[in-house]
Amino acid sequence: MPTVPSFLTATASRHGARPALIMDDRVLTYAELDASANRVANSLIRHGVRGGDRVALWMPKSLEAIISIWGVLKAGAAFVPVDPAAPVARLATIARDCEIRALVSALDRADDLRQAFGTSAPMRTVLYAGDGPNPPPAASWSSQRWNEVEAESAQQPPLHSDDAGLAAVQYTSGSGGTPKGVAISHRTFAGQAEWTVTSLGLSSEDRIPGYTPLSGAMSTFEIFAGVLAGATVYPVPPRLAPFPAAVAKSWSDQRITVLYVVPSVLQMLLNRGNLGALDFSALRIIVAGGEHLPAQRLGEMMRLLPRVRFIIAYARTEAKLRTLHEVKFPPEDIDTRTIGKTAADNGLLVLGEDEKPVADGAIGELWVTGSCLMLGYYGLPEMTAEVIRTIRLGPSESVPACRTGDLVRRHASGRLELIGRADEQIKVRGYRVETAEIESALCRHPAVHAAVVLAVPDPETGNRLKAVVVLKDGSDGGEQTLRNHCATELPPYMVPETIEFRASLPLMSNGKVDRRSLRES
Amino acid sequence: MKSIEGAIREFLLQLPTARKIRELKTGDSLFQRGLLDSMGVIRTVAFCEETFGIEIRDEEVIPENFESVRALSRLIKRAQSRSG
Repeated sequence: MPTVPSFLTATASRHGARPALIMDDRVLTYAELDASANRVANSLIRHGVRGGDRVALWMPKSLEAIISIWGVLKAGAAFVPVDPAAPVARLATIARDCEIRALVSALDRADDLRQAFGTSAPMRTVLYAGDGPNPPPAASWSSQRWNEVEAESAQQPPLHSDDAGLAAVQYTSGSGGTPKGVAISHRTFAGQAEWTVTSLGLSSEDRIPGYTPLSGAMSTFEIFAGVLAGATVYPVPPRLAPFPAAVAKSWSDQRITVLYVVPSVLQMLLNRGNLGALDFSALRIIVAGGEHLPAQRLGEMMRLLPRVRFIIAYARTEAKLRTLHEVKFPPEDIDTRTIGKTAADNGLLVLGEDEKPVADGAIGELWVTGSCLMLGYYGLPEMTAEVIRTIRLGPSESVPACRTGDLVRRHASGRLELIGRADEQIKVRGYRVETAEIESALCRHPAVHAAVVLAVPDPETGNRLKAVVVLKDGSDGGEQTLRNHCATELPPYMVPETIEFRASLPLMSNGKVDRRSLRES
Repeated sequence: MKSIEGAIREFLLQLPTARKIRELKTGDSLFQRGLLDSMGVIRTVAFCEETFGIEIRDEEVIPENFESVRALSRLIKRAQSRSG
């Protein structure tokens, strides 16, 4: 397998003059993207970044953010994308967890960085995008401005060739109470991108919007598959992104051909996108993945856009297989729960608790094999060993496989039907959330004795978070106080929208909290 | 009775994105203060529709109408004059 930066080098030499990225009237050709990425790489290398180092990104979506991802990879380092809306405390947790060597951020965040890191930052250098006065000198890192980067050489540094090497650490909500880093190799990203380009028939004629957050696992579609195909990506400006009708109109004007989004975004477009009034004649494929899409909503979408192919994708951050299942028109009995096809070198197993295959018609846990597997959770070998295990397939054959936590039914026909989760993990607007992480954050507030967090159905967003809290005797913690407390540790999508106070939590006979009765109350 | 601007301000300041914001002037840019993500916009629309008994059209949910408390209040008054 190639390493990921070779995608950009190859496309730049084949389609150098074609537009790679278009955002807010700024056009970056493939030759320009390649040259800019080289400058970032050379700057990072000059400031001590070496192969295998981690470089975090904490900034709004922008051309500079995407250039920086490629620059980090060309320097032989791994990128660590952090939600730009997350509080600086979460960045600091992540930065220390994987010991970043450098950080790319925006100039208006310099004060936050100084306050959060003080004199004990893991990074030695910070690269700032954006305009404004020079940031005051920091005690423990050197600062570079983007115009200094632009003065670097555009010559490509020698690329690393180890496809098993670390390419990214993607942090996801952790059931242990803190976020955990999923370490991904070049080989895994490359295999996923090649499969995506082939199976969807992506080419340099395609125009793809960049809507998903760079901190999420799905953004690999627009970053890697887009560049491998030589397509043009239109990153959605952060100012526009929250407005469904404005986003839909921009996609119609850009004559978007392939759309890959989470179902909650499709629902937002259906509810508020004014889609019926817009021309989507160039659109040929919509891929929905990341959470369950209700069949009824998909049916509405299919009737609105009858010429578009609709595909349901399934993937995990830990196992980047990206299965694709095309939903057939007319939408009578719409099947949004089938796990579709994947690349030839990835496999799907349905295993019981004994880690042996289940019988036809039975429900088991979905396990995944092949090049799509993560390297492991960063710095957590024991947790990795719980998730990636050696599974015996026959008397003399065994393979490493990754458990997904998803329950599926294996039909006699071979069809795999997604049933639900084996644990408390939920999806909120496409983001994966471990309720235990929010519960831990709530319990760190001095007034909180106990807390349970639940997902309750919401017609606009799919799910909304509700917390049920028991306060310590004599404590006074209002709803807004606790929400503000959560917001200092967690990204906004993990902050409970409603908090209910109770004198005690209902327990089941085994002593665990009875979540079902709380959900139904 | 609360003013339209007062009610909007109070609603915006309890969003999860409002954690560091103590004060919000009617002309402050909601985008620059980081108040409005996609959930914030959806919830703001629902709040305005319920509180003021109005209907906000899809094509009105655009950045210009959500620029500030003042812009939102104008949007609500326009919708009120339509239904009234």
